[in-house]
Amino acid sequence: MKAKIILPFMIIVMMLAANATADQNIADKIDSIFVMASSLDIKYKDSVGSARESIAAMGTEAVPHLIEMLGTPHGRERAALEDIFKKIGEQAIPQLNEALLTTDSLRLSRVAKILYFFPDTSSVTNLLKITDNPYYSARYQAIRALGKIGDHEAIPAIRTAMMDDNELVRTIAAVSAGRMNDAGLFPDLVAAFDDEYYGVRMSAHEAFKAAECSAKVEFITAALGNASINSRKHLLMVIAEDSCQYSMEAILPFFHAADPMIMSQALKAACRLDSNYVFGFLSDPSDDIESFILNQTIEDILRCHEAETSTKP
Amino acid sequence: MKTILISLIAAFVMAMPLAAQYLPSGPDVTADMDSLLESGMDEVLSYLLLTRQDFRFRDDYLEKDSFRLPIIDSLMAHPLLMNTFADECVSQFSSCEENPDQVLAFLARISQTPYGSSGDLSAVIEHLFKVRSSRKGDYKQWEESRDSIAAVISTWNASIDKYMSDRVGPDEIDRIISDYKNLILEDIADKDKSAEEQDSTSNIEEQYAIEFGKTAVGLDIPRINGIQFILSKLDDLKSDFESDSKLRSRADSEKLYLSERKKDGLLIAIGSLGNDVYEGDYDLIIDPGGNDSYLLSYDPENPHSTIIADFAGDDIYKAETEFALACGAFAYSLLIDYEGDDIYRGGSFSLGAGYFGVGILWDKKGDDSYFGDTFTQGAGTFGLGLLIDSDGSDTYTGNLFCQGFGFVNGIGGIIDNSGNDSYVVQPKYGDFIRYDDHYISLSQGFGYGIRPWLSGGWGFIFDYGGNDVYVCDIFGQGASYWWSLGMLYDKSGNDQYLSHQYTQGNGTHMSLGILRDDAGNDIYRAYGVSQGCGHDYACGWLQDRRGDDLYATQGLGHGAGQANGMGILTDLIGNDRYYVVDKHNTQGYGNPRRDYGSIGIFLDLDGDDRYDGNGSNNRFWTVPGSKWGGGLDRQIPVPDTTDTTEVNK
Repeated sequence: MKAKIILPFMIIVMMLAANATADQNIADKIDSIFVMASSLDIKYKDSVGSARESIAAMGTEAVPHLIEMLGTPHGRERAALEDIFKKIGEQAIPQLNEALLTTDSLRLSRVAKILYFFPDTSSVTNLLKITDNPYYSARYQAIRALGKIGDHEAIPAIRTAMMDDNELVRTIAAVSAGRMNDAGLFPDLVAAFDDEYYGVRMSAHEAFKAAECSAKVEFITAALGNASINSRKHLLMVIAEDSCQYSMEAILPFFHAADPMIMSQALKAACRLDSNYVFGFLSDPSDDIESFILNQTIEDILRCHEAETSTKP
Repeated sequence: MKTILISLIAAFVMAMPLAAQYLPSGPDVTADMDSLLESGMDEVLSYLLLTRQDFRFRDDYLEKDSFRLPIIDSLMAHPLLMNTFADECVSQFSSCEENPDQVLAFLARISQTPYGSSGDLSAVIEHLFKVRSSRKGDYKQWEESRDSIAAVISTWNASIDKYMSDRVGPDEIDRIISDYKNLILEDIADKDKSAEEQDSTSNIEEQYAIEFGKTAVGLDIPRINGIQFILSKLDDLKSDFESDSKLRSRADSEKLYLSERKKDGLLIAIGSLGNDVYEGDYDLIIDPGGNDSYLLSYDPENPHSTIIADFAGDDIYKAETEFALACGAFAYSLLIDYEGDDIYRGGSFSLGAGYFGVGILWDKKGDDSYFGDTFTQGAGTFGLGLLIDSDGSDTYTGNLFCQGFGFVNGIGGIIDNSGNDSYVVQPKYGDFIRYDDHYISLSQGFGYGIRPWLSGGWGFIFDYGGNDVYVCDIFGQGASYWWSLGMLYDKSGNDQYLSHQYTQGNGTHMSLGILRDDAGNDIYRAYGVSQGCGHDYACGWLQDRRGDDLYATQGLGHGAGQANGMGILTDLIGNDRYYVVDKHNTQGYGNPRRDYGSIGIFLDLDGDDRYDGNGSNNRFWTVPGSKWGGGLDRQIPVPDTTDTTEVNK
């Protein structure tokens, strides 16, 4: 009876020990190769690539130890690990997802950073769990990866992140909001134009520029009327820079805006849509213009129109 | 003290206007320039949908080490305040001649808090006042004064001993003497070493930096007290000597030193009017005249403070060992030369170097030549190194980490009041990582840290006059690397700045660099990543206020931000010429990185300018592909309250 109990127990212990030994062997093996794989030494210059390849070739067996190693303070080691994970590829995703349940914020942020390279909906649930991590870099990397995955389940978290205390988190949230390609986030992106940090405004601007015409034209046209001064400048600039068709009526009210930057952007936007119309408007100036930027815009438009008409027969 | 520092930082933060309350008193022209700069800056930023508040960095991109200077963190939070801080320094340093203690107190306050005390000097001061008598031609007075100054040295020694023992164990001091020093020194033979040898050296250094970062937590910068008092006593002795014919006559007749003896363990000498030769490791030398030779040595394993004062003559100072000339190595060191065209040959760790201590070299008059190798001519780590040259056209020659170099937890600077000076960093130590034929300089107003382990310090040059020439190769001229600050300020004169890369208002990897030239027709020449370029959460600013200037660079300059960096070039008054080769990344360029972008600002607010690049007169422009950046050339009327013909001649 005793033997019946002890024997399986011993087998389990031995299996665990064997596993532990095997894990240890893999870890030792990785460690020994990693010295070369992460080295900046001149003597290893030509061996770094092949060392990384050989670790990557271990596949999923190597992943747990590589995840452990993500806590390193060395930039060169982090770069090597990222490269190895990229070589291992999507097969690492399940273990990386599992690693997101660890409590180590530093490692979490780095695991999330790796997952950005393998956008997969299976990561969403666990990534969402760290979007409120106290360490801003963990939040940043989670939101970044979620934006790349593009799963709409992440929208509330992205929306929350756009109001984060940390400006870098808000910035990446605006980037991710753009990547979600969801018109429901447009009001949040418009609000981001009033953010105090340029990265957020810039990312919101780029998000609108990259959005599909079918999704954004109607929204921007409607938003222009109610938008803040900052938002209006950005939205008019988007109209001037992208290639969508907007209604001229939405822009006309800003031809007489008090703010010269708004007027300038409105003229540029309108000029792209219908240069003849703008030329007609400008050829009958009613006021002396003092604004440097406005004068330059008008001169540019007139010069451009002149060049266009002179080339036509 | 903490309160004082917090107040100071708060004052900077509150002073968001670029001019703010930190203007030096008197010169209205500076105020005008500041308001012009503000107007221009606000205008170009408004066209880019930016504000001045967008210029900011965090202090926690990675775990913060304990060596970060508070001034660097506060300026990282508001990089545009580098300009305001430069104004503050101009104002403070201009009082150097009359009130050196104030300058030293300012530097100590800026550098770190709480800072050490060099002990209670009141007893010494009282004693010195007592011994000053009206007796003429009597060496008694001299000897008593000598003993009193020697007492100051003893006080300094006790103070630095306590300072070090409170913070560093004896074993660590041994390693600081050897291993820490090796973080600074380069070997010219490195290029001939095998790959294994080179790797081994760099790995050992990295390992030491890591260990040091763990063990040296809590070190702060020692403060030196009583300089002004010592100077006033020396001035008294000097005037006694000049006015007392008996005293002069006696000193003239002496063939050797008037006195050289060990007193209370100190080696002291008072020289003659002849051409004296001093050899050895002295604690105190006072020499009244003659063309003297100082062949000095120093043993850092037996550290002691030093005072050397030479009242007249064309002297030669030569360091026979490292740490020997005006280097405070675990000590305070003051070398003051009052007159004459002097030659200083310092080697490494010299000529106003603070290495876990304070080293000050002050040359008051004459056309002087300063030669050194590494960590020389205003260099500091865990301390302050200061070279002050009050008068004359001087030549500064070094090879590495020199001429205003701030390393970890340190401040190093040059204050040169006048003369046509030449600052040259010679091509000695190759930059093998990047080039076969270029050299690392890391000098001339350069702040440097060990990435990613140890935050850097503050290096500066403040040159107040003359037509100066600055030459270096890679890293220098108001530049920085890794949580540090580099400043080069030149007040007037037609100056030339020549360098290759990471120079002339450049910040690299979370750091700040500014080159500011207030007047004169200047020439700026650099290959790239220079002339107002910030790379990787760093800000570089090249600011020229007056004069017809010429700027030339290959690429990544003239207001270029890279990898979320910020680069600014501002030229306020004058007819300028701008030449670039790569138009796609210059004159108001910010590149996209980390999913968003960088900022590059180019601003010229006056004159009939010529451009080979993106800019043109009376235009606002942006650079295709840039996120975000732009340039503005525009005449903005300046309230002219001074006659500028003189400076522009």
